[in-house]
Amino acid sequence: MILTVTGGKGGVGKSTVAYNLAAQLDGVVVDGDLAMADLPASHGPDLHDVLAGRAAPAEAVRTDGPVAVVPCGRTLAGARAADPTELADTLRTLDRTHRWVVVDSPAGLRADVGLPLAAADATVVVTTPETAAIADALRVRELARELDAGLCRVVLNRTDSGTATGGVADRFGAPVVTVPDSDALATAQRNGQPVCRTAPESTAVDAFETLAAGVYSCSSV
Amino acid sequence: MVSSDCTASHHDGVTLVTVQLRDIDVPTRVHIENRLDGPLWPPRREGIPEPGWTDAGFAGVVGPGDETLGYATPAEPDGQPAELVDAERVPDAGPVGELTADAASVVRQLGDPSPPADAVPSGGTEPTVPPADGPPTVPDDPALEPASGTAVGRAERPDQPDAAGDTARDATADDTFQRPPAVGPWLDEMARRVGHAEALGAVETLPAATEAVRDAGGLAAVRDLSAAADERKLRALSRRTRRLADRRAEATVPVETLAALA
Repeated sequence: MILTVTGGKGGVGKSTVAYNLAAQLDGVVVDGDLAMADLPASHGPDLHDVLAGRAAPAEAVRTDGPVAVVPCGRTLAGARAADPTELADTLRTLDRTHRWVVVDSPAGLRADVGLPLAAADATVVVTTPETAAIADALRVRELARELDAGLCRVVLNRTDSGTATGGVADRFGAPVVTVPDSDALATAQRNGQPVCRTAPESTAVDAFETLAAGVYSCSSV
Repeated sequence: MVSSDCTASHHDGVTLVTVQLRDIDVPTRVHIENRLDGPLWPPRREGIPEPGWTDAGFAGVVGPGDETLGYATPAEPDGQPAELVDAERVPDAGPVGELTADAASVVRQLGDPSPPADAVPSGGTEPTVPPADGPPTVPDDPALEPASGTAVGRAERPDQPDAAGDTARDATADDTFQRPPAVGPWLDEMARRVGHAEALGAVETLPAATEAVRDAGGLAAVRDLSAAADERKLRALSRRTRRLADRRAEATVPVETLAALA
């Protein structure tokens, strides 16, 4: 199943959610931000090479870390050599060998967001509780709807204990999972680890378990 | 019944063909063929042809109402430029130009996300790359092949502040490329000076600074290293070799023909 993690605004925590969700699902996370890669990278072929026809999708999967990752190259030249329209085929190829393919999509409403949405079976929209972030997330939710990528869950990231979620769920038309603001989560992401490894007792882990359960329930419909 | 009217105008070596379709009462699937003797250049958005256009013409649902279609061709206008060959009423067809989940439609509607050519720095150690719509080329030098692992795997990630990576890259490139003897010693000297400059830039403690200055050959040598002359020389050489390589790429040596003549 191809699951695209997206959000209208940059910096709302898409990569963190994608990485930790892939850890919970035991899936592979694909860094779909062709121009501004964000996930841990290492040596060897990456998504730029796959999209430029220089490597097969399976060659770009890194399994040496705690989560299987398809990293993305970090040069503009690499981004320009890559053919973004090959992304759908790449994701489908990975989908044949992995139960879950989680795509960390870039921010915005350009085709680099539309292409992973077009290939996705389901979408998780990430937003912070700020009004501007929610407005942008609603726009990307419309785009997902146009591209038939069903909205599975909305992640309300960096909430404090008093955040009300009912209104957000109504506006998006999907259940909301809150991820509390957490130092443990930020530290884990900085160190390229899922939070379930570094702080298994933290509230953030509970949130990602809830999110993973929600995603499971979408896949069985 | 759909009526059509085709006109053509010629400007600067390009013929612009306009097909006006009138009196379309219900959505109609039309098939229009180019009759001029030349390739058809369809209208494009974000570099992707509009839906319905092929090499031969247009096939798609239009209307209701009046509709105007147009394309370009390098062929001279000669007689009727295009022809409406088929029109079939399809009252149940959906709206035209809707965003659909195929990659071409997404790029057409939302914009090509590739960074523009101007944004890509030229020069440096990166392999030459074609634009996104061109065929991928494999660099001649195996050390520059990204899939081969260490070489460009390192070069692709300039954000890693790891001096050993550059040394490793140089070493890998050197292993696979036999440098001409005249250039070798000079490049080695440059590599030595760059190494000293890096070491001097990285010192944080007094003993390390003392050692780095001693390794570089004293304070006078450090002053010499601090000038930008080395970088200028290396860049000039890089430009010169690039120009020569481009000229060499343009030239073909007709060895078979010359051998036959001899």
